Amino acid sequence: MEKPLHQPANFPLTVIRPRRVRIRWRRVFRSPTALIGAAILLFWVVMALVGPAIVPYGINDSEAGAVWKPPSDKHILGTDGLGRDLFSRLVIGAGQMVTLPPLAVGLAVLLGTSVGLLAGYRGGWFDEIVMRLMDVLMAFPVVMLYLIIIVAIGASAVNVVVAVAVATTPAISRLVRGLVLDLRNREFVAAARMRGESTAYILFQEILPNAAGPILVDGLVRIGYATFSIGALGFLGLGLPPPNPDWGRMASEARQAIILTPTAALFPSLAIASIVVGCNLLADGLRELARSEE
Amino acid sequence: MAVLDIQSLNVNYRGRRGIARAVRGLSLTIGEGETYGLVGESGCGKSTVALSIMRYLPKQAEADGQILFQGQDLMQASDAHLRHLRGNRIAMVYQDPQASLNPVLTIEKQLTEVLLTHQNYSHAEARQRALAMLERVRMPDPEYILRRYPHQLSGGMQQRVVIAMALLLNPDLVIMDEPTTGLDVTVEASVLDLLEGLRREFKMAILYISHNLGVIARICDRVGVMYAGELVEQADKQALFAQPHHPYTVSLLRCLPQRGTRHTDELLYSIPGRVPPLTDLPPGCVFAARCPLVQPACTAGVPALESVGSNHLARCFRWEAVRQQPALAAAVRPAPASAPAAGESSLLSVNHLKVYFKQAAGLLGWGQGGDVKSVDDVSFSLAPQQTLGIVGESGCGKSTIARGLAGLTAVTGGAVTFAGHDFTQPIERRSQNALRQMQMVFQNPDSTLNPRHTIRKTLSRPLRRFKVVPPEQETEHIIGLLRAVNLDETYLDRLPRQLSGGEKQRVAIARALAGGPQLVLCDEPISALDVSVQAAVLNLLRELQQERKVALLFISHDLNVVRYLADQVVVIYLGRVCESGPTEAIFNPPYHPYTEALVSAIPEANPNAASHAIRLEGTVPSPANPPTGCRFHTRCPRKIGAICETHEPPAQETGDGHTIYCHIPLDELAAMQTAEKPVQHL
Amino acid sequence: MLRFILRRLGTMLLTMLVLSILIFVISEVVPTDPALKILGRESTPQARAALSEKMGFNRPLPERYWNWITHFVRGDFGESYRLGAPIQPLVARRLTNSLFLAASALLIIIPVSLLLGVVAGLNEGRWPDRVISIGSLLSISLPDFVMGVLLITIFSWWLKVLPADSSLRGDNIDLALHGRKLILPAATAALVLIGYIARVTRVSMIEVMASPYIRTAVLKGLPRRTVIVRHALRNALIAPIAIITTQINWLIGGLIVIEQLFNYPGLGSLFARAALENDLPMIEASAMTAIVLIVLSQLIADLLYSALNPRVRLS
Repeated sequence: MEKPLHQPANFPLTVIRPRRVRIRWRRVFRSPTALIGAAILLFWVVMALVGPAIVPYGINDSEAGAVWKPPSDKHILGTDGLGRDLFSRLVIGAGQMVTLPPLAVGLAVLLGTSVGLLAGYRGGWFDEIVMRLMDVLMAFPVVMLYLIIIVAIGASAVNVVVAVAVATTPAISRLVRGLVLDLRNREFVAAARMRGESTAYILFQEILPNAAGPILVDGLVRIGYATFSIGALGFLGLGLPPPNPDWGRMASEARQAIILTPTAALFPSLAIASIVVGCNLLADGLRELARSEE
Repeated sequence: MAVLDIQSLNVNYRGRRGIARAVRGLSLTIGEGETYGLVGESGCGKSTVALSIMRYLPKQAEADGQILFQGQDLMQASDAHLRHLRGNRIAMVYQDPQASLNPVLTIEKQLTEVLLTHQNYSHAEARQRALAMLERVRMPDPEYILRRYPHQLSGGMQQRVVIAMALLLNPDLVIMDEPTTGLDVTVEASVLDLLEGLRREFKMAILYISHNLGVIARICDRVGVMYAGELVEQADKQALFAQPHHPYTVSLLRCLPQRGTRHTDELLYSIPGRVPPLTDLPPGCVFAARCPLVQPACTAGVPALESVGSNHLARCFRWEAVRQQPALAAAVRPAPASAPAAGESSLLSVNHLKVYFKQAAGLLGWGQGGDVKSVDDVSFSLAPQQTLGIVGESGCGKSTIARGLAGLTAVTGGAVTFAGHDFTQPIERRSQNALRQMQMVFQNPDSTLNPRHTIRKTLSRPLRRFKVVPPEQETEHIIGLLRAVNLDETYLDRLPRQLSGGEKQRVAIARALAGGPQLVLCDEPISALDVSVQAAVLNLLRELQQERKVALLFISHDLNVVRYLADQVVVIYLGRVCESGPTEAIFNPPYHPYTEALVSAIPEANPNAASHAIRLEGTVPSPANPPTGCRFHTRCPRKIGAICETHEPPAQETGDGHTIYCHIPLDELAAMQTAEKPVQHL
Repeated sequence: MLRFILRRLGTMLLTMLVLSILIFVISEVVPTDPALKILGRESTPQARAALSEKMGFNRPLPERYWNWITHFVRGDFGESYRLGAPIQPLVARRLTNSLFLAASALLIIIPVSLLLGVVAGLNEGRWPDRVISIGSLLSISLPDFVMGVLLITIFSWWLKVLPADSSLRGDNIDLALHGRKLILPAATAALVLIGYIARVTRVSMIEVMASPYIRTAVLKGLPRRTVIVRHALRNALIAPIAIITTQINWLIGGLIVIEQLFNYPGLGSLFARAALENDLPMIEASAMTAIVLIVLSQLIADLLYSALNPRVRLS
């Protein structure tokens, strides 16, 4: 599920307008916050890559009698309700958690940036109508929007990506539009117009490079929330259909045994949380760096 | 005993780039009832001095030295003692009154709390005192003002409120940090009038901080000049302006276009180089690198502040040489050959230009429509290679004229012909050749260049768009452009953030000239720059105009600058022309009453300047609903009657193209304005 | 002011209209055959045709939308296919339960988050700020169900002081009876939101404390307490208070997961169940109810915002 970090909704608020962020990657090493975040994310990416080679059990190998077992030497994270090894399922499940959210957010950034650029630069009725629509969409609780979309189109990897992308786009287009509204009145844009530059040149050469930093940092935060959302979808039983090991579904299945063996619910939950924390730490660190450079 | 006695104050800021030594060894005293002016360019440490006295430095600042207020050292004062002094015995007036007032509290609350905190007043008594004080700062309808929130008042009124707040408890010392900076010149003039009156009335000591030598000359008794964190010269006002002894002071005064100086007479003096970084100061004299009188000794040892006359201190080894000033005088360059006389076929001709803005109506059709008539029927023309100055206060529509001509803002009506092209067309419909002919230099150095583009990219783009040179000669040509604006090829691969404000503005000028235009629109190109940099940019514009045979449309609120640079001047008020004609005719009677008010409002860097004070009352009406008849009638000090309210003023010609739009016959105007008027304090 | 309210009301109606169309389109148009959606692939064509006839799926789309929305406005939410019972009383009952939960959460959120934000903002860079900032970061990073699982592990499994299950017998909440069952879900909903609001408050407080008008207040010689209470808070709280009300939107979304996790019979779990079972009329009705709630809360937010801020109120 997603928290509207950059979502002023219908409000005439300027307080949380995004700061202009500019990233220089070498500097990332100067921020411990960013480093820790990057390390967490890297850990999961590595897990997803080498996971299939290191897991001790298959994802559907169930051990009779070893149901809801707490961590032991044999199963370092314990077992689930069908006696399957939690560690193996968690590691294999990392695959979709490190691919689907970035894909969904990537798609949303593409859509949202296009809409935001056009609406912000063109202005007028196009802006009015599109942004009104985005506001309306943002009034919709995101998890509800996911569920309705998934109910309509069915649960599959592609559909989950589509649902998350659709629900994330309005906030991104709002952010981009805000940045464009600020940038398009800069004098260097006026200078470009006086050279007779095309709209495409102005958007992609003059405006977008100056908006890229904030969009990137925002995208990072949103990857965290997309992970969050995909976990929530799985938890509600509308994530990827079994037998794919889905962290959200794992947590939800373990819910019934939570008083018995909380670890079975705890580990997949914490795995999801760690990705979100990683994204937020990295984003916070990058923002700090950009601010300290001002 | 002096009211304020600062002894060897040092302030350092700890930052990422090391320790910035913002104020070094500063000593000054201010006697009872004395107004001490502290002058210097931005970043010289003036405001740091003010905040040190108030003990309101940011966390990363470290201060040492003594600040004696009536004999007590403020540096050692307890929090409780500081609270007792602040707002009570020491008060402050700030630069930006809008930001300095709390937006969610009424004026009444903000005024009375000073009284209620420091004195045992009842609410009713406090209110009475606040009312009385608002009257003393000449606020119309104080009862009404008390109930307002800050955002409902104009800038000038807000500053009066802040001044009233400072004076409520009749403090012994008032610190004024650029109190009129950011106000329009006519508003500034009336606030200065007020301050002059109040300082006599209240007999308090004032530390007056400003970058504007004209303001300092008007209001202060004694003046200290700061440069890069040091006091470099201090003297009585008369002595300082008549016989400055530090090369920096001399240079600063030289940088200003003097009343009557024209670009055809001489180039302005400009200070080469830039202020050294406070984190990495050079050895020896801090001004040495920019000083025309520099000698080897200057970089070897640090000069002390020594006495050079009665009550006159200067921090210079060569003050005796400055007194004779041979080297400085030589630094004034003669102006290049003057522009050809006007009267050739016109390059730009603007007839009845109108630029209206639609007022935002509600989505569902609620809310009033109605247009903001930002530019309403403005006509003028400009000959090739000439300079036309457009002056007026903020919001008068002068920038909108430029944006309309440039095609950046849609023109509502009228005809614009430029070099044979129809320039009422929006930018998208103009041919590449037409675009090439008219380029623009903007106001804000921080937004004029794309922060992500190198200087090379910034300058190569117009070359490509306008097909100036084949690609293989591009770099060479760009270096040529950089040299033309007194930069060099080391700038090619820098990003704008690595440049100073003046350098950015130079690059912007190079960009405007790259395509070889016939006309460059300059929209307040120097108003964001320091005085010393302003002069250099003005000179540059002047020289390039000669070399490259371009015409300039120069928009400015600074009348001295326009008078210096322009051949023709148009004075705008509320989107209408008040007066237009050759520069000398504009700046001599008969004036339009508005021009007269503008001219008399300029603070001159000359303590003996005759001030014949015409002051404007009230605020500029909304351009959405401009006054009928003459638009200036609501504020006109020379209004003659109902005719001003009902009939548009006729165009009266004085010959050689000088036109005044006024109901008063020209000879009467001239008679009124040439008669020496005693200084009227309102 | 009246014009402002009228405009807001107009926007509100428009928002509801657009969202109702959106809900309708996604639920009934995107899945080309809603009857198939409801009955599943194993159903016979006859059964699907019968259902289509009964629910009106074979009518033209505008007519179907019109029928649905006009009935909804009149309080007739239709009949659940799964339960075979009218939806309206069920939604009303569940809505009451959800409002109880949301209100309990807000009662925790508002004072705690504002206090934490103000304390952090006033101590920028010092240890209280660091502790609160790290806490906020965790709070905004933990998904609701993760937060819930953590709380259950701590309070139900380990300390054994609170029930892990918040199901109510008879579906009707009674505070005397069910008070303890409300604690964990409310705390979960609160903890997840506190971080965000505390962050906004902190930033707002820091900005305000650095503003020229606070300098003016300090240099008037006002005691620090007065500076903070009278001058800083009034300005610094405008942003977070507006944010809190917009967060109702998020709170309602969060309730879907939280109610499901704790088996709490609210509107959210009703919606989640309906989604799992493809109970289209129930999905539409509960989603629309949530939207009406959100739009109303945003209206309140706008009015509150303009009441707090004279720059908006008097312009």
